[in-house]
Amino acid sequence: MTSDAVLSADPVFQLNVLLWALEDLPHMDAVQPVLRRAGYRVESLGRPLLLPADEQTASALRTITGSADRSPCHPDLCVENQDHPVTLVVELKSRGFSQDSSNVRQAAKLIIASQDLAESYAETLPRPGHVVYGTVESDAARLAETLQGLRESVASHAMPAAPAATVGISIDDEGARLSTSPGSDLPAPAQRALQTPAVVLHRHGEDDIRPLYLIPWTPGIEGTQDPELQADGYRELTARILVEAMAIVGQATVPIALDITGTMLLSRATFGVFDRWLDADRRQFAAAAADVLARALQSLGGFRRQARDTVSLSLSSHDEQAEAVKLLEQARPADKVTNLEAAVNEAPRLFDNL
Amino acid sequence: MTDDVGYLPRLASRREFVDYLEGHPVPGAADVEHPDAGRKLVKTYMLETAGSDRQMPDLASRFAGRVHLHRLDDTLYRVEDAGHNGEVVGLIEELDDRHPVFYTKMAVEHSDRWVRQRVETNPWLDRLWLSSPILFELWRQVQATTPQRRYARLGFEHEARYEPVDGLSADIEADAVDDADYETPSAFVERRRSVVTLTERLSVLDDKLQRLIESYDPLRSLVHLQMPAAGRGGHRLNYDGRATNRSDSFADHRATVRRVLALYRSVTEHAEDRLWVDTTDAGEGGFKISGSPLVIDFGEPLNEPLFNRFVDLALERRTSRFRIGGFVTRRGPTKAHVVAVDRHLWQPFLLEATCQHLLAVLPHGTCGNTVHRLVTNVQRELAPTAKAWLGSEPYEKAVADAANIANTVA
Repeated sequence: MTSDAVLSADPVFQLNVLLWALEDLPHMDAVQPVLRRAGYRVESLGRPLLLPADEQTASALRTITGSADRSPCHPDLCVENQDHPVTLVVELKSRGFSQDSSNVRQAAKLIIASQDLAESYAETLPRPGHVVYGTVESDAARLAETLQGLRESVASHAMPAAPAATVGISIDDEGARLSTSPGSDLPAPAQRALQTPAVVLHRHGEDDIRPLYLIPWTPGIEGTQDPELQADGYRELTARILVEAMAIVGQATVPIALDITGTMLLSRATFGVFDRWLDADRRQFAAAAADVLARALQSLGGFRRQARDTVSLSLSSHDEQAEAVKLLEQARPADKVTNLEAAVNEAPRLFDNL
Repeated sequence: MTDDVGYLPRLASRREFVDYLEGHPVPGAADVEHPDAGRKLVKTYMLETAGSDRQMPDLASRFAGRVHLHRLDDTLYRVEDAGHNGEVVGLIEELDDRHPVFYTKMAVEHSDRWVRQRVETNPWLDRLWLSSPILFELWRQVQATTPQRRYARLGFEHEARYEPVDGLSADIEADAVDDADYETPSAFVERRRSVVTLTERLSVLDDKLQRLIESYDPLRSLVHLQMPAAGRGGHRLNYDGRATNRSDSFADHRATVRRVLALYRSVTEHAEDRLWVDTTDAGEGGFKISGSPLVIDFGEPLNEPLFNRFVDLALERRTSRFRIGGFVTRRGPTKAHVVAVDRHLWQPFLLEATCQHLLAVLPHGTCGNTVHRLVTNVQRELAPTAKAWLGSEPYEKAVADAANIANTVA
């Protein structure tokens, strides 16, 4: 089993802990939505935040990041509070970083953009933001210092800087916690919720602490994750793809010819998040999803690989329909030879030209 | 032969059928029912068309194959089945655009089988699942609207189906049926099974029932309710969506069914609004995510052997009564994650099962019937004290609120 230290630094785990801390849940032992109870809700994920198009901003960016590039930044989460005017602009990092890190570019942009989010939301009234970096608890205090240094650098250009704070993510015998760092200046509702480290996911005996992942995969994560956790991510995504295929086949009214695309499967398997992935990632994974399907169904008479990301399935009877479902059920999502991991890593083949 | 099964006459209009079902003499119907056979009760099977916002085949196509729907008017069909030599097995009426109902006078063993075959082979049809909270809400309405001297009948049932039994393998036990005549491996099984029926005056039930429920957990699993009719008798509602007319009026029976459907639809659509997980755009590359999980808390935690049998039999078996398929990942001794598909409606969802709860994440489009089915089966077979939530909203409150809305609309 993955160690607690590795898990608490895992970006997919971190994101999902935050999402469960914000989830609409009853009082239950296993999951405590500590931020939801403080009035917070997820406003968006990956929302583009605009930077002012003035010379001061360009100058500040050039000095701090080495580039005047003011393309929008995309924080992991924007979190609103129904009773408090400040929006939390949340970015998650496996580890803290210093002012020498390449992460500074994004952090500086977030600090500048979040000072007032009204332009980013196309609103008329000011919408103050508060930058919050989530990282492993052991790095949270040092990261807070980095952010403070960045704020001072921004302010030295006579630019208003959004407040910034860190939230620590840790796992101990009781469970997965969120906590503030000493001297943190989170907005009052968040500060109250986290000033005593708050358990979001309770540990139960020998059970794995991981919750259901609402977001099981982040594009571009390949190679940056612990290998075991990455393999589990591929397994999960493969299972969701296969189940979506089962649903399509199971709901079909035979006789029928079905065209099933990898895009369709991944979109449904991720609640539509896949549709927002970058084009290159989408193409790669859509083809891989079709590969997974092809491997599962290739023995079926009515199966044909139509295009790189499309398979077609001709089902003439209920028996064939049942056989297709059975083959999908017999697929093994954890098998690295046949699952999405294998398909993603496979070299381009003949179908790439279709 | 036809008298035993309980076919309907081949009448040509709603009026004739209603007269016939009311027990009035109808020309052309005389040769159908044997005069000595007694009047068979009308059974109504309330159905869900599963996924109201989806494109789906029209009603007649959903009963394709050997079953032919002969349209009598805008919403009523005569149902003929080639498997029954083309006899009229019943009527289907679209009481609303989501919930057709099947009226039949076939004997219950025939009608149950007929409906089961239609539902099990058709992803566009499901039964209604009248969970205990829904039946208790209807019971509350009975209490509020019926004279105290009338009788009501309530049936409670809980069987600890997944309780481990020494010496009995899971394979044998999975769907074992009691056999009155032969020694089978399950003949000596002792495990918790409670079937309680109370037929009593409302005044007595008002006084005693709550205390009984509080002193004996299985009474939290209400599986049938006979609602007193306007005249004599009543309408018996079963947890699986079957309603039996034990009153002297078909019209009153139909009105009762319509009332149940209005409540059911209201709570189902509310559950869908609240639970469906979906994403919408929030700027280029960004998105909003909506929806909440369904939580079913077992009340008392399941012990490890019981949890394991539940996962083995209910979640991993293709033949499970829960009809859940997909891929199970064990996350420890008392935790499992399932990338699940409802094997009946073929709708995917995510499920976490622990010794304390089930937590389900339903994508946009998942029929709310899945919620009622899970709640019903958990209370009947796993944990009678289970309570459900739609996000942070108690399921019972959602049912009560839905009843208010349904009553207002009505």
